[in-house]
Amino acid sequence: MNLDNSPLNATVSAEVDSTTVGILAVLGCILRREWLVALRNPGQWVNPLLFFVVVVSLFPLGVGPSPSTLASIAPGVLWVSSLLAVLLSLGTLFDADYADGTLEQLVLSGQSLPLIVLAKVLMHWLLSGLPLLLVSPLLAVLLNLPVGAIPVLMLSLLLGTLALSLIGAIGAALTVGLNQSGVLLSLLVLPLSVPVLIFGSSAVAAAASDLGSSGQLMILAAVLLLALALAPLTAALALRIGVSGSS
Amino acid sequence: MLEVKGLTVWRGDNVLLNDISFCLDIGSVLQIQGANGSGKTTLLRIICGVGLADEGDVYWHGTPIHRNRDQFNDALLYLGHKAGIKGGLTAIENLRIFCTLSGRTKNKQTDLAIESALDGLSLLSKAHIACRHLSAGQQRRVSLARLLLQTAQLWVLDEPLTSLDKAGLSWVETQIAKQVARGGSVLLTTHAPLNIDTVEVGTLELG
Repeated sequence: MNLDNSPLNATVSAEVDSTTVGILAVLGCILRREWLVALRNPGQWVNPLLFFVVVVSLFPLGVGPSPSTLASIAPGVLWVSSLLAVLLSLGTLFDADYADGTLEQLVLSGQSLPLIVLAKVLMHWLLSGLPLLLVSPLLAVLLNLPVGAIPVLMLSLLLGTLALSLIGAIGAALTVGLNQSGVLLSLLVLPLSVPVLIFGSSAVAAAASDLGSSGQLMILAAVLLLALALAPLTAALALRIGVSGSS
Repeated sequence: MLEVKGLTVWRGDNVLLNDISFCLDIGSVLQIQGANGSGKTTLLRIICGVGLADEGDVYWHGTPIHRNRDQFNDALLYLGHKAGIKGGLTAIENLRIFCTLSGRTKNKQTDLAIESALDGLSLLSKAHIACRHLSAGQQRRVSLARLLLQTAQLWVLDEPLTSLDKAGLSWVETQIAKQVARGGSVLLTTHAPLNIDTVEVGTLELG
């Protein structure tokens, strides 16, 4: 090994100045990081999707194949299953970073922590929420949901799963570093996600009975905007506490 | 420039750190010594602002660090007990993330700097292997490569020599000497005696 690398070091030092990189560069950097980590650890995004598919497809076997029964429970089943699938995938949001020490590096990086949280949640949603959304029409047909309600189902899932990912991030940040935090996470997050579940499934049910569902969708959108504004800040604060609680 | 005043930490009914005070001036090295469990890591985490003290405060250029966190974070390079690298990413990917987060724009120069840092640590041939497949010492080296990629006034190194070989040890000593030569300071814990000719290493005994 070349120990006397002073010229190298001198050039390195000269190149580094304290120019702050832009918000977009940080956002892109974290998105790319999460993408690569997930790509090399497929269980992270395949598990929630499989869970969703398996749970929904068990219902026709459990409650009987009668088309009218299935159609009437379809909105609730699809929504409860996607809520649970999102929650299932949330446990890993910050825990891996906590375990390998990169979380404290992120906290100490001097970059905006809410921004980093937002980037992580976005990539988490792209990998766990979006696949649910894409596979939902297939499962809706399986449950005999009227075809006309499928666009509303997808739109409600788009707004709803994104909101759930953001709300869940608060719970994941609060429980970071705790062992076996799954149950606690559910207890923390479920009460907050109930409005999303209620308005999401009622939007689909209304569309299935040929009623207007724009009211429910607008409330879902409002919940999403509220979560988008507050969840990254709250989760970032919780992460700072979580990181400093351990030693 | 770094001043620690009256840090006290309780763990249940026992006092872990009792009224620790010291100053770290420009261009000085302080080695914190103490038995296992004497609170070395706890002390370093509090100084970096990722741990909480029951009493006392840490000052950076006269201001408490929690009031001046942005400026302090810019001036700080913390190498923790955990390596702080993602096992699923390669050394180059890990260091690129570190560079962006520490404020270097992503360009050719940054990539060259990363490559030469890895070269100096004889890791260039392993640069495209996921870090989880590297040995413990090689992972430590990836983590140490950050010392070359950011000019921080204050280095806080928690057991930087863990699982390093002799060549790695003298590499770290060389880097500490360079950091002192350019007016930076180093605060570290290690059980191995440091042997740097040009630098006087202060010590602080805990416990």
